[in-house]
Amino acid sequence: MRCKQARRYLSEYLDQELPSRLCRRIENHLEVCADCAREYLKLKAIRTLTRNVLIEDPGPHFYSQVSSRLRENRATRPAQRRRLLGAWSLIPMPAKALVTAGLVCLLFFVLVYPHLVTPTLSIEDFQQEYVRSRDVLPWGEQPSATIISFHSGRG
Amino acid sequence: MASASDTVLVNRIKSGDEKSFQELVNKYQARVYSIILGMVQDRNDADDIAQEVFVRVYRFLHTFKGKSQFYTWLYRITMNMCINAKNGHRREKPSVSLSEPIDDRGTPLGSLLPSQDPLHRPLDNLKNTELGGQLQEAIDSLPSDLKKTFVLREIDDLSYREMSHVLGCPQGTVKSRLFRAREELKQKLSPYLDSLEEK
Repeated sequence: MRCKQARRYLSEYLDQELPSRLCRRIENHLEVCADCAREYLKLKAIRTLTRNVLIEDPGPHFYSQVSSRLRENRATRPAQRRRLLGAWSLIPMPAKALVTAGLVCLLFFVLVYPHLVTPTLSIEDFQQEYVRSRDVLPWGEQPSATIISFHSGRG
Repeated sequence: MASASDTVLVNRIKSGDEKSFQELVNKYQARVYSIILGMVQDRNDADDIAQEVFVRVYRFLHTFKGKSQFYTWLYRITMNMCINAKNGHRREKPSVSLSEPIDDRGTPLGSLLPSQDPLHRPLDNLKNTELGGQLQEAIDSLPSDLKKTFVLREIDDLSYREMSHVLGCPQGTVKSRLFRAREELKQKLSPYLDSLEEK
């Protein structure tokens, strides 16, 4: 194994993430190459130092701090929301189902239904449109006079 | 890492057992705190973020369905909190550095305060040395992706596979990030590493 190849694997070798065959080849190389062995020792030193510097326990009072923060958190939640949820949980199940169904129907008629029905022209609008079109359209394309009398109930 | 025991604890907490939550916090507090310390380099911030991580774990545990390992989920929350803190999404708190002089003679504030929890901070000797400071500075100067991969690996010894789950990237990316992070650190710390070698 060449040095260049060995150095590419040193990080994985340190992490014990190499297959055993490759591991043995690296070990053999480190035994005969002082430069690569030095590089490997540097990586090991970085690991040891990092662990010495960073690994730390926040102390024995950590849980009580977390716990008091949790209590604070609970206390600041809106009380009204909790009251509403409490009242909702007291309602019997059939009543809950009825209220939910009612809300769904209401939403349907307010939000969806108006878009499903095609808009209709009122008789007054139709009459005005008819009178206007008589002046503009040529004779052959004019609407029949019976339509207006039929829609106004005068036919 | 005993995942079965995590699952048991998580299920107990979900059914309202606060003691199990305490057990879970005790189990992971050092690892979570150390990872955060590696990411933000400030003990006050690390304390604050670590507490917030566990508060979130408690509040959102009902969303954890157990499809992945608990610690994967926990570390993901930890990493996200660190990134948010770094990006300044957290509320800014006025803080005074312990090394900042507070009088005409240049006495640092830290020297007037009693050391905190000496039993739990046995490595303060190294932390306060020049080498410790240089190492922290070097880690802090790494690009965010390299830093979180390096810190996660060195603090908790996760396998590349586990890390790829936490970080949401392929194992090959984890491998190359670790390689690059170590190369950068080696370069930045070379005067210190060379002197260690000589000893």
